[in-house]
Amino acid sequence: MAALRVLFVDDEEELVSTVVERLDLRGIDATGAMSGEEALTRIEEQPFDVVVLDVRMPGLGGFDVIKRIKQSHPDLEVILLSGHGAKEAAETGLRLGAFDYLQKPVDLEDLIAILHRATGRE
Amino acid sequence: MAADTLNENRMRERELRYFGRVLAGQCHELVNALNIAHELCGLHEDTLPRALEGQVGAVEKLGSLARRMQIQIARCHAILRVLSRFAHSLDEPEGTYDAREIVERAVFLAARQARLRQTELQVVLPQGGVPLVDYNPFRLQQAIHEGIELLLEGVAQGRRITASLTPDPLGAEVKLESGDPLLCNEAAVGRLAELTALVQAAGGEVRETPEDGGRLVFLIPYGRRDATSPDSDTVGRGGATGGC
Repeated sequence: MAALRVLFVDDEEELVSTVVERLDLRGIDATGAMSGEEALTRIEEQPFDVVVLDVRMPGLGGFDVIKRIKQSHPDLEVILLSGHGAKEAAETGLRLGAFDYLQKPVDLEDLIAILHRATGRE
Repeated sequence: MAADTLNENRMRERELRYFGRVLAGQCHELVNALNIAHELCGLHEDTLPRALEGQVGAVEKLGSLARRMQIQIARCHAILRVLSRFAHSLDEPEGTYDAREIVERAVFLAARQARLRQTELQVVLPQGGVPLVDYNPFRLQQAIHEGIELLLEGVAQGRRITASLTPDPLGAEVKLESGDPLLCNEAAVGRLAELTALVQAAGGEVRETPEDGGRLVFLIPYGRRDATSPDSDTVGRGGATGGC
């Protein structure tokens, strides 16, 4: 089976590079993006199975990004990441079409389990 | 209830809201740093078996990860140091303080909002001599921070806001500059009027407003005037409630 292609989006560069490296070590083909704008560009450039998206980012926020993704790539699954106490924000994301949400800090094994569920690879 | 008491109560409520807002924002910053530290620890754990097997570069990787964790720990310490000073400033009485520290702190607290607005925030402090001025430290810090927030609303993406402190014959001058005019709406003009009242309550005065030039200038005098909460008649004088 081909490796899962994941786009991980967060404005904290150090977080993105670390998570991408950890996913790569687990056989997942992970790519990072540091902004909503960069994420949308990446999605146009190459195919992904899932996008993992932080809700709060400078410029285009997670909600704006998910709306655009669902318009241009309705089948692309999105998993939202939210900060502490951001349950309402996560619920908004689900209404906008997110597959699921996780609260930071994320347990990598939980994230991978959701990635597999989102792509039907359980 | 006397008008002064009402105004003071209103000012206190505003301080409390500001305190909560800053605390919540800095908690987010702390959580961001801790999230990174969490992932770095995870990567450290992932790398350890490879280092024990003697894989090339794995031991160096562990060292590099430890240094990257230290950066995040230092980031948390910096936030907590400022937060601690910020919290204590609410208890501090009006008096003579180092104005440089308070400008620096207000800029630090506004950095998160600036980042979210994709705006660079720069602080320029005098090289020699520490301006010692009389003010209410919490309110002055709040005024500088809210002044930056006001400019942030009108600033174009990618621009810079500079907060500078310069000695003045009458005290110290705090200048906030963005180069872009104040956002032209009722809310922004109302907030400018509130800010003017806050600067007065802190013991200073507004010299210039950002309505047409993106510049907000406060004077914090050496000898503090009798600056209890301003009555409603004084709020907004000096062009702060004008149209845009």
